[in-house]
Amino acid sequence: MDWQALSLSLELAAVTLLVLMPLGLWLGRWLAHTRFAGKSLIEAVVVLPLVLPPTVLGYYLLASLGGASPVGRWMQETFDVQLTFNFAGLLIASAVFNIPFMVQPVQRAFEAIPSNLAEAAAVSGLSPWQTFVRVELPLAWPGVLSAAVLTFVHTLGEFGVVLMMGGSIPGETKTIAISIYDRVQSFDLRGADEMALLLLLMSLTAVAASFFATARLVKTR
Amino acid sequence: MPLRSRRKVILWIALTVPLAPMTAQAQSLEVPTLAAASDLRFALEEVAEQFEKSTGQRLRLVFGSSGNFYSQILQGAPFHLFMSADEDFVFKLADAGKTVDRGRLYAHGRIGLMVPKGGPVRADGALADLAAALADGRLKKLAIASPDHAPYGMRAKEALQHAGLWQRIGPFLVVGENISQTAQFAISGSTQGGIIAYSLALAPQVARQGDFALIPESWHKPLAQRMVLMRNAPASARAFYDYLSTPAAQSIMVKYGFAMPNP
Amino acid sequence: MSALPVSNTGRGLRVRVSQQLPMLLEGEFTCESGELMALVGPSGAGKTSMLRALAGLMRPTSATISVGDEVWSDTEANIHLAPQDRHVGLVFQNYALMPHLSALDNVSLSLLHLPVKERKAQAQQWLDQVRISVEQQARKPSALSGGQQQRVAVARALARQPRLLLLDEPFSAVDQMSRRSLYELLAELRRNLRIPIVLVTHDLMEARHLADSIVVMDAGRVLQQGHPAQVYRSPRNARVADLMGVHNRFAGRWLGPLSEADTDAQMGWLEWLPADAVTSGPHLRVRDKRRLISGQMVTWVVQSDGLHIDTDEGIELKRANPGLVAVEARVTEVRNLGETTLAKASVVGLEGVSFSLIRSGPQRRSLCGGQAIRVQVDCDWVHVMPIKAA
Repeated sequence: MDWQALSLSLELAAVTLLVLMPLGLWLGRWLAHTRFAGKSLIEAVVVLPLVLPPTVLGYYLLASLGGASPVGRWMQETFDVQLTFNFAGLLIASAVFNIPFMVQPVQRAFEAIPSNLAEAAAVSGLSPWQTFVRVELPLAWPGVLSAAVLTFVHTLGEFGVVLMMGGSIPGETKTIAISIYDRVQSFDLRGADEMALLLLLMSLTAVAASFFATARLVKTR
Repeated sequence: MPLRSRRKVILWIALTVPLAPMTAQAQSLEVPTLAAASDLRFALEEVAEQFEKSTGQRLRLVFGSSGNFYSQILQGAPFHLFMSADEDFVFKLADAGKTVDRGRLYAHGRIGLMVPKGGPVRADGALADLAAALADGRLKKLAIASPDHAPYGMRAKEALQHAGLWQRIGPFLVVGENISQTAQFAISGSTQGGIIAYSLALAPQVARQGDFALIPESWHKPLAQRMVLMRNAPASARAFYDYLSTPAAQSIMVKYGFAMPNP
Repeated sequence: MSALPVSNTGRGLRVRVSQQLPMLLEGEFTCESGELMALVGPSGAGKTSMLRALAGLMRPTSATISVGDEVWSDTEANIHLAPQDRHVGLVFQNYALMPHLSALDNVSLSLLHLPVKERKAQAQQWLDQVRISVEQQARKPSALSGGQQQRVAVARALARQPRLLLLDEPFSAVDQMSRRSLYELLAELRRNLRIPIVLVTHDLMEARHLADSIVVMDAGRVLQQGHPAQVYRSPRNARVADLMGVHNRFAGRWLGPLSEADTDAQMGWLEWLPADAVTSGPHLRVRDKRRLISGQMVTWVVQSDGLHIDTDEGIELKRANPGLVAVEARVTEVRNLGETTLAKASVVGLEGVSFSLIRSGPQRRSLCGGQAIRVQVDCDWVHVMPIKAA
């Protein structure tokens, strides 16, 4: 059992969630409420990481943020910070890759709220923030929870992108999925088994728990 | 932008910006990080263990295909020491100015045919039975490493070309991303065998699962395995670089079938 | 749009809207404090859009809206108060209650400026006023009936201490019994709150019974405002007549007063023309409103109230009113719909002209196709409109 890889994966999943949650809430809500020419294009871009092979994403991130790229060089010279082959790079990749998982369920959840509820709130004197907190969030939270769980679990199992621009460095970019891959290549099938099973159980539990919570909420409404 | 959205953007930036320097700091803790060709997997782990015991210095080992490491290092991957299975990659990196010098030969590798125990194809280093199996249909899949970026894969291709099998065997090939994965494919039971590294075949975990026969060295270009230190390498990485020349390290390498270069 | 400031010394609602895109919305109207104004028209007339503009949910390209001495919208002065800043009460068509909050918490939403305890106490008071029991107050909307939900929505609107109360189609989804109690509630509100109340409905009957004034809208335009009986009696043009349920519309030529007696009595003569507008028809002596020129082609209407049927069975109306003109007709179509009979009768002597007759309850005569009837037209109810009036 590669505990270092496991804790790295958990940390990556948690921080990705923290970073994406505000973005997901804002973007999901905005897409649910606005209609404009070109909205389909934005929605397509949001979904893109879902249909893009992870290696393609990893490749583009490497090319655009790596040491040879303008952005990479600037970051290195100005802040002495690298954006590839380290946790920061994984975080960026993770955030980009999970955008559809975060935004889509949130968008659906906000879309499902009847539009006149926000209007009724406004007419009753609630500011947009109050409307968001008292009316929209309570109604949208199953979708938000869904998005959070999906993002977390998906990040946990990240492999392709990490492989492309992570470098598989233990303690830094060797996530649990990469560790499993590595175990297999070391002919340590028992080790691989253990970690794979753990990952499976964790993912299953998280997703089941969120479905359970959502179902209970729908019942009590 | 409405106040609420502005708040969110600020929160988001506030969280991500501090993280970047944090991780940069983590790098500077400087545990020597080695990029090592996959054929070194078992051998190097043992050598590293000995090194850690005698010096107390921990190492981080990353195994993979030499060609991949070459690309990654060019892209700025923070490895301190590169142990390639093909010296060409080292020379290219030296030419690109990434290394302290042109490195040192640390071993000569060998390839051979590995077949799963009880399989239909025999472990014949001259590849005669392989040719027969190809002709009579016993062979369905043969594993080799990537002939594009894995040195052991390139050598396997040369050997097969030498044996006159390369053209015919094309549709039957299963390509591993590096030589470790190839070995895994070779004895997994899903193929009838594979051309893998001698060093991996000697590892007990692998040896007990299959039969192995060396392929003549003259059938392919030599596996001149060269290592080199990168420009930013800390002193501890240099220490390991030197350790590899010691008798203690070399005896482990020989145990795994590597031929030591002439001093 | 005039640049004159909207002077509003009363405490009523003054509205002027003008918009082409994205949809046409045009017109002006007023509603005094303590008055109930009904906004009527067919679906798609723009009534709900007008309501939304009043609430601040929609921002017309050009508008002035003021309630009392507060200016809520003035596009020229670049004023547009957000809904939160207007003290307006809006009861949505489908109530728009928050499904995750109890009735009490729903009403509390209008009272967030108060500390929690006071909020709950006041919310409870409002709900008591609309007759929602304490037990019901704790329930979520899904556990309340349609009528109860509506009353909760009204309570929420009232808790806002609105300067203007708006109701969007309050009768559409409501059964007869709840309708009665809603009438009573509205009557009470009109008495107790001295604010303008605007009610949107497509139900003409209800508008006529409840409202102090009605505004007729069609295809985005305000066509006419006035007391219901007055608009019914004197629709401005053919379209308004149609919308008010006046279906007996005919062509005519205005002859004007033909004698001194006519001029003194402020009466004039109207020639009833058939479809071809050539053959001559009966002449009717009707009120002269001094707006028409002699010889002008006109459209005229007569409400059902002004049409009485004599049958050949010899039941004659008392001719108390010399203004009654007998017209022979033949029934061409009869449709019995429960308590109501709809019939069409073509006028003898006038090619292509028919009466639309509606008879209900005790006034029903058993009419059958082909039957010859005599229709008494009460000229007092005849209303003449110039063709193509704005």
